[in-house]
Amino acid sequence: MISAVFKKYFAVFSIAFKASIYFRNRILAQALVQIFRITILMLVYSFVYSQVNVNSDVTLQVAVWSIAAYFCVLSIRFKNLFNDINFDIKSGNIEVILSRPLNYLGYRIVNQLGSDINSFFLPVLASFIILPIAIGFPELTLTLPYLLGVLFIVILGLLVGALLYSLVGLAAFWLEDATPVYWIIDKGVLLLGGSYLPIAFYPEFMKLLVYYSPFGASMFVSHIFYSDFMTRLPLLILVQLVWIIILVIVINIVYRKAYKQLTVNGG
Amino acid sequence: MEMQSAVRVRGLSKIFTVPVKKGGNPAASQIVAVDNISFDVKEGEVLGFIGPNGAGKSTTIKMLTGILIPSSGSIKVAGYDSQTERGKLVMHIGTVFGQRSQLVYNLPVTDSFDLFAKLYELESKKYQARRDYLFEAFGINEYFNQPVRKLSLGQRMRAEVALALLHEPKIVFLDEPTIGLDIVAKQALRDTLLKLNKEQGTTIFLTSHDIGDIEMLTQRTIVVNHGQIVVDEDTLKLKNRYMQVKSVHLSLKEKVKEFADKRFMDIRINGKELNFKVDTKKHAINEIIKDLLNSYQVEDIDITNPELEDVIREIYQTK
Repeated sequence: MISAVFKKYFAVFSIAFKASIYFRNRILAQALVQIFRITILMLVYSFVYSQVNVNSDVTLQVAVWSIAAYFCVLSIRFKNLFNDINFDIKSGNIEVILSRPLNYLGYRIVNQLGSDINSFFLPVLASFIILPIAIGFPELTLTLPYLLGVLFIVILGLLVGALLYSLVGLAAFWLEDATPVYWIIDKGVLLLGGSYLPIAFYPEFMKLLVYYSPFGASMFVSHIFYSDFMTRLPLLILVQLVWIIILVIVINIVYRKAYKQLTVNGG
Repeated sequence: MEMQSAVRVRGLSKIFTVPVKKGGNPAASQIVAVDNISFDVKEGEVLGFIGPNGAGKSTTIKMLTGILIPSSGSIKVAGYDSQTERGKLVMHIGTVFGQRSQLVYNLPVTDSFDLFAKLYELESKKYQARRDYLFEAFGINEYFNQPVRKLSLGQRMRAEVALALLHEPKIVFLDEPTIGLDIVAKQALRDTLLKLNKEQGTTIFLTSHDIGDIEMLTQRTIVVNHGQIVVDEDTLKLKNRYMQVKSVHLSLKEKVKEFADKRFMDIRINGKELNFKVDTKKHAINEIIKDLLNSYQVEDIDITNPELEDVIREIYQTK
């Protein structure tokens, strides 16, 4: 049973991956944008660290690699789920997916992952080429528990992000234009995920939001280079799991209600 | 022995609540899209489900396929309740929504078939045999490795229908499958569907605006309007009663001043163009064409079925 379900979604992932290769130029352009952001921020932080005595245990390497990790994960654009779900509902295209033996949101999430996995690896590769030459590596002890911890944090974070944007997408069932809600969520992730400023520089009350909100939880990947990452790892995983459970329950309730009022126009 | 029902619908209704503004205040208005309809479709039957725009046919088809939830009533399709057993139901039905595509746009046709084989859990050998059969039947062999985006509309629609039939569904729902197709592509699709129905006994539930689809494909027709069933009868009987009048358009080499023939109705002359209608129940169309070709120098001739809206109007007038 589980194997059959896995095979179905793996097929969706594979076909989305294969179809995305057709857009080679787009993949390259998206990767270049992320590489550009990482490079600019690296130059900015290099300048800041050379001018100011930063009173923190966050070194230049930690600050830049954290931001790089954020933008690499951002390359998997789960934020597009909002547009896709919105389009499916407004255009009636949802009927095509609903007529297949798949869960609608499951299909959308896996399809997005398959479409963007290419865009993810290019910035990762570029970061591992540019950053070590330009600023070097942060101080890390690469152990198996650490690597597994990073893997968990990335996967669970992606899932939190996917669920968050799916939930906003479902708002299209009720709202004529759900874009303002999307903007709030998106900027929440941007601000609390550690995109432009390392989390360690945040004031204490904002750190609480970073650690306990779903926005921050979707981007815990930006914490993986901090010296206390392994100490905090159980808390981070727990927070992500709690948010996944909450979001799954809320989405389930919202989707059931939304599905009842689905309208698809015909001829 | 009596045939089993592939579709069983009882007291089906769908009411949509639509937001409206009353004097600047938000309010809600209710629209009855489907109004207490009941019918059965036998296994192996080809049913035409027709009606004008907004009649409720697409809403009905979407309730039958489990996409929309009915406001009231019950539906059994292929033995499954479309509301409570949607997961099982979708494994046994095929759907084609003429204005939307199930094919992966940038990949070759065969990739969409590979995907569907996994979605419908088809065993590898069975899948290959079925795919080869459908490629042959629908003439897809000549373009199966071309990206979908490069196909003509006719080629795409054939691939869409074949894809919907890949998992050997007990019943296939075709919502406007011939929309936008030229006459040759329409005929090719109709022929293949008829062949499949005969060879494999697939039940076909068809909606179309094209009377030709209904005339050539279906054994029984249900006409709906304002969410209610207006007519439910044998297509042949319906055809004899309402679809026998064909429109004829002639382009002649010379201008015609007078044209009179008791066999023709609604004659209109416009220079070299001649339009009239013929009741094919009373007069054989082939004899009329022969007479016209003998009497006039004809440049072009066009014979068309009545428009769906005209047929429905006539049904109303005679009821």
